[in-house]
Amino acid sequence: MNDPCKKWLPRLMAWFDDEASELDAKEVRAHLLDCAPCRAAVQSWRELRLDLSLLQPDEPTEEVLERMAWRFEEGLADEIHSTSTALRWWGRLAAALMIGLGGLLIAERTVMPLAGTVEASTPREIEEAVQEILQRPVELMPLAPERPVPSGR
Amino acid sequence: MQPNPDDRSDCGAASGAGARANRAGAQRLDDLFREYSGKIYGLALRLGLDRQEAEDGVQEVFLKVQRRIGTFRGEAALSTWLYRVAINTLRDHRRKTVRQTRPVSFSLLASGRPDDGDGSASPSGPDFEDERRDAQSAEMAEVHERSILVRAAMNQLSPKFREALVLRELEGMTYRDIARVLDVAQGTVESRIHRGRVKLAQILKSIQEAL
Repeated sequence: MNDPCKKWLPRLMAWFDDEASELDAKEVRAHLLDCAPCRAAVQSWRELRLDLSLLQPDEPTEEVLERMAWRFEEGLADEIHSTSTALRWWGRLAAALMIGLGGLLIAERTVMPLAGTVEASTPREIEEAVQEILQRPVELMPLAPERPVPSGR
Repeated sequence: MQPNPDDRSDCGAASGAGARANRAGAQRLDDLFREYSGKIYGLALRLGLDRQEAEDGVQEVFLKVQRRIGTFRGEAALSTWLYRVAINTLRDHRRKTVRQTRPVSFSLLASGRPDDGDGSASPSGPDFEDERRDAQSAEMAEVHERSILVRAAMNQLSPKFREALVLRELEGMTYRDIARVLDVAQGTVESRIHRGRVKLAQILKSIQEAL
């Protein structure tokens, strides 16, 4: 491809691609009258444009358009189905987590926590502290008072 | 105005509004598909995908549009946004599927025989009609050969040059619109178009010399 004048290249391209102002276009046309390299560059761009126009496809037929519409609807339906399946699984997971958390909460309220803290720094002190904690009795929360069973029925 | 049965309670009104919004969204997507599917199909072909790949590409593009339509903020025209989604999707699609197994064959060009698709020989005979038909057939063959050559050259261009050239030369977009679609500066678009032209001319020349 022939090289146009470097300083004219942007304006030449803009003119060739219909992006130049009226004034610029006039100046480019005047320059082209005097400049053979720029004329040759424009000519090679024209040939390339003609070549590229061979790649212009025909409009899609009705059959192609209908097939694409049908396939798109199928794809949408699949997408909605997979999304709802995923949502269902997330829902189940959330329910399982809620049940698990509820269970932990009940367990925490039922069994009294081990009261107090101990200070230990050497391995021996830590060992003694652990033994001491393990020997503490486990205190249970008092159960709710039993309701008297009505008699005579 | 008749009351809508969905509007009998607040809850009913909310669900009615939700359903109407869903219907409006679906209608909008449907309108977009009807207006642009043919154009995106054409864009896919111009970018070098074959017909089957172009159909697959259109489906991928519009499924992506359906997922992302909520992110459209109206800063650019809807068509520009849609073309941006399309270019990115088709580029990925092309990278995944095309050219992995389909080398360009120049045997048809080298043999000088047109690929007329039906394998029939060109008619020959002494009468004028046959001569005219021969001339037409030869001209069509020449155009067809040239288009194969140009397609092969375009396939050798890097995507950034190919996309800029296709949007400018085949889609007829302005530099500004191309910049928005490709999400780059206008100066970058101008540079890609110029360098794309230079490279395409070089590739065409080298292919012709190799034949």
